[in-house]
Amino acid sequence: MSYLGWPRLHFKGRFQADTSTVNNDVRHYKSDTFEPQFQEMMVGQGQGNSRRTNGYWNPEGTGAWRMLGCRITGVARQAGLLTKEQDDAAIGLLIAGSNNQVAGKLVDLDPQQQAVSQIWGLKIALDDVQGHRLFDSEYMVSTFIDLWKRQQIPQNFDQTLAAAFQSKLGNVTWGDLSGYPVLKSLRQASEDGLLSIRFSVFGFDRSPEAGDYTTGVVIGSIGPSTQSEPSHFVLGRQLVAKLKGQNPTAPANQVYSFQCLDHPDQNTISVDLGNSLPILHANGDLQDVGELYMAVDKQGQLKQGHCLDSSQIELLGQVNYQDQNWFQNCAGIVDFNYSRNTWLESNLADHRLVLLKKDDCADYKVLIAETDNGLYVRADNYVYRLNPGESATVDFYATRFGQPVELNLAINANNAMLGGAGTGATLNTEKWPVPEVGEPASAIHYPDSLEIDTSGHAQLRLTADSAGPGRPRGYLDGQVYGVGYSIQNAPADYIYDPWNFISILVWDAWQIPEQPTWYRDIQPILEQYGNLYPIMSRHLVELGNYDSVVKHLNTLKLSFSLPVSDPNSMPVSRDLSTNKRATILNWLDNVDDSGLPLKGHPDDRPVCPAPVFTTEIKEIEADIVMDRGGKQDYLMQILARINARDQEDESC
Amino acid sequence: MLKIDPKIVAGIESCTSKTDLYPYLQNAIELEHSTIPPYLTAYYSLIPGLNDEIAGLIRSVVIEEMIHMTIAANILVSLGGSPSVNNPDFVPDYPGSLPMGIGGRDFTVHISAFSMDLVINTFMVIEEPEDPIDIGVLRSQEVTYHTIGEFYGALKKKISQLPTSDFGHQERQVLSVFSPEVIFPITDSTTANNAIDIIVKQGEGTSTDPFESAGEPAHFYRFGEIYYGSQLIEDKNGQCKGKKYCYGGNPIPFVSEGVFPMKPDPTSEQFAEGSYGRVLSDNFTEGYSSLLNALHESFNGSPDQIDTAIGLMYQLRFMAQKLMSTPLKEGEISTAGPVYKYQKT
Repeated sequence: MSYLGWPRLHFKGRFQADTSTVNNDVRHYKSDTFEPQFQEMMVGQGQGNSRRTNGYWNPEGTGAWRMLGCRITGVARQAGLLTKEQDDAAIGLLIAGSNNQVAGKLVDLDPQQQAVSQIWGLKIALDDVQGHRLFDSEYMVSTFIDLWKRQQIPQNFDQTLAAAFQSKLGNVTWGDLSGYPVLKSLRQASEDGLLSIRFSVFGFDRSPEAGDYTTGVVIGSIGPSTQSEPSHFVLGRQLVAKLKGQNPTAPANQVYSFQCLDHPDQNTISVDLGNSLPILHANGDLQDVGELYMAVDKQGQLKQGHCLDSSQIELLGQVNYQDQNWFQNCAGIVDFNYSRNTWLESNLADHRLVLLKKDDCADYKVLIAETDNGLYVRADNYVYRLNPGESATVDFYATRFGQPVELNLAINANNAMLGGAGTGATLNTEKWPVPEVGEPASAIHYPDSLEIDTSGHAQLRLTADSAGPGRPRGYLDGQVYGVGYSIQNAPADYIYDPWNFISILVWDAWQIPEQPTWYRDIQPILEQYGNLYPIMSRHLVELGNYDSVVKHLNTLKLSFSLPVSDPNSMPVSRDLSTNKRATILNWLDNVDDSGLPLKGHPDDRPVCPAPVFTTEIKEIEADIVMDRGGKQDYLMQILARINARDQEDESC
Repeated sequence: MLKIDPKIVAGIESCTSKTDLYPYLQNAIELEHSTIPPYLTAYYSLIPGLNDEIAGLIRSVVIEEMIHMTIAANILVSLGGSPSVNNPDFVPDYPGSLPMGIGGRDFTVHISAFSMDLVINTFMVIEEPEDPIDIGVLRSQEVTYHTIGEFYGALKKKISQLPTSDFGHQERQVLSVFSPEVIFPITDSTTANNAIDIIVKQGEGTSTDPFESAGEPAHFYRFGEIYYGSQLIEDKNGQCKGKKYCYGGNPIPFVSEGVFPMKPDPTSEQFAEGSYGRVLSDNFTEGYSSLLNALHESFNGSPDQIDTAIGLMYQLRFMAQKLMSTPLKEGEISTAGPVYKYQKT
């Protein structure tokens, strides 16, 4: 099942991610040293320019994430792909978003873990051009995955990294489907109220002067779904890219990781290259990487980047990615039918899939291959927010060539992809220390191994220590932790997907005061949000100012009491612990004789503690200097850290 | 002169059943809504921090217009009707006249940034009471307008003839969000007419008192405070020069630089297709349409949706001010603005 089943609707359009960027730098969370310029637009966006990062590229962002002008471009059925409006009435239909609530929100887990952005509170609907609703649904929160440097020629301040989102659509309600047989069969193929969706996002422009500022291209697919299958990946066949060095965003052979689903009853395998082929420009023109073929490795020996002759493989077929409109028509998904090939019929189920490029070195070169022995393990959901004492259950799935398999996992702390300041701004490191992540390790508990039985499914329990991490980061709440997993006794050169790890934000312990006061309990929280989200303070309510806040008591009460799944829930960043949220509500409810919440005394304001663990201070600089380098964002810093660590390892 | 089409009042008078009243209650909802876009635009156009007092006054009027719209909808719901909010005809064309020919065909309402001219020639015309009180403004002021109060008067008269059994559907009425003093269940003709009195009183005051409640002037006089630059006060020791009330209280300053230079009557075509400005413009129109959808759902069986509608209102403010700070062309001073129309998808 999943979107790789049939029927499948492909769509293309643009999306807007109006993310706020003041919070992209962890040092901006430090309220006592917050500078007004941290709320200003950055200066000098271009690569190689001297720049002043300020509040980065969209300080007045609202957090909204919405689809813009997305239309159905293709309909894939078992019998083949249709792409013309006259062939299927569903082609040309509009993918609409929330038309009775605010847009969805794009939310980072933490300024020190920005590589797991999630979409919250998004609605997805299908409308005909007259506005008749064919289905309505709620997109279940999901995190992007397979972030890689897809765009080869940067322009403006394009985000050259691309990624994919995969999730289920829940609470699907169907309208009048007469005239749309493909929608009827989609409804029939799905379990009640469910659909599966995946989409790739790329070509995102962050230049304020550009026409497509805050927008990018989205191409994706919607297909049937079942309750029991994972929500965020396909229980199928996984091709995982070998990397250039340790860089998780750089595949060694141009093509990034992807998944496939075999339909043995139909002798067809569906291959999803939607987020895997490099593009030249932001518009999604695919780069010419040669003649591409999907094939099966007969001996199971093929290595990525190696050359081979035809005898070593059985071809499934060519990937005609250079045909006009190929990408938008099929969203990068190709169905290969192997009915006429008896070898494939009997061997595809337990032989590795490979993507080949025709090459002079021999007949072909392997660009990417299925994991060794077809072994794969994945945590379905990999982002968690935990209050002290709270637990979460992580669903793990293990497969061999897409079928459930028994295996053991080693679970261990892995903070390599977390941490850093968030932007490349050069700030005085004494005044703006950068907290260390993952410390103290004692604040998060999990077993060091997990047995997965023959069902291929097991659950890992993560528990935040009831004492909390103890405010190790000083000026911001809680701590972020990375938890990695690996297959015990995996084949020697087994290639892991670098994005397959779990990210957790554990909040600090916080006692809810019976009589919270503004100065002691509320201002320290709200002022930080006021600093980080200037859209609020400039247009609605100055969150750090008592008089301004009390003018909006009812609105704040409403926003802070909404469930986090609601797109209107405050804070937009979903980074407030349950107890702190309760403290704010308690304060809003607990009024004095004049009907206003308690103010207390300015002297009660707690002093912002220094971080317990900070990254090493290397030099003392002027307060704020022009950045020396070009583009340095969160990932670039992470990569620099990884490279530095590698060099240290080598020097040992 | 703000005149209501006499056919409307005559139509109400000829009603013989509750269902006959449905179209007129729908008219009332449309009327109350029709002032919101021009008021909201003026409110959004005030740059935060520079004209906060004026902004606060306009905002308070907008909120009461929303209350009035809710009251009219609740009365219709109570009588078993279904308010219709999410359709293109619900939104007047701006620039254009108000619903039911109110104000006459010559009275054109624009979507404009705040200006004193807008206050005196549009807002105070819309809110003109049936019987304006002679307010001392220390310069001559001639008032000759008529009112929509007659419309509500006719409605009240008919409603008082309806039996209590015609009212009900309390669970479908929107009763949260606003204060219970102004939004209460409509269960009979008394509660319905009490609610209509709130609409009229908040809009016009009474014929003897310009204050709708302590310290809170009716809409017409609130706009008067803005125009004449001072709070409305009751004369205590002769400061009103012989009048019972005058605009002689604390000053209400206007900083003329504190207004976004929005070009009046924005359209969707204010930016080329595919431009960032167009994205902002379309975002607003979509947000506004979503708001009407949320309100429609609130008044048609899902009253809790009103919370969602409120969230949308805040989002609209962000979107409008983003538009109003975006120049129409590079180097141009005048900026874009919100486009109020309903689009289904």
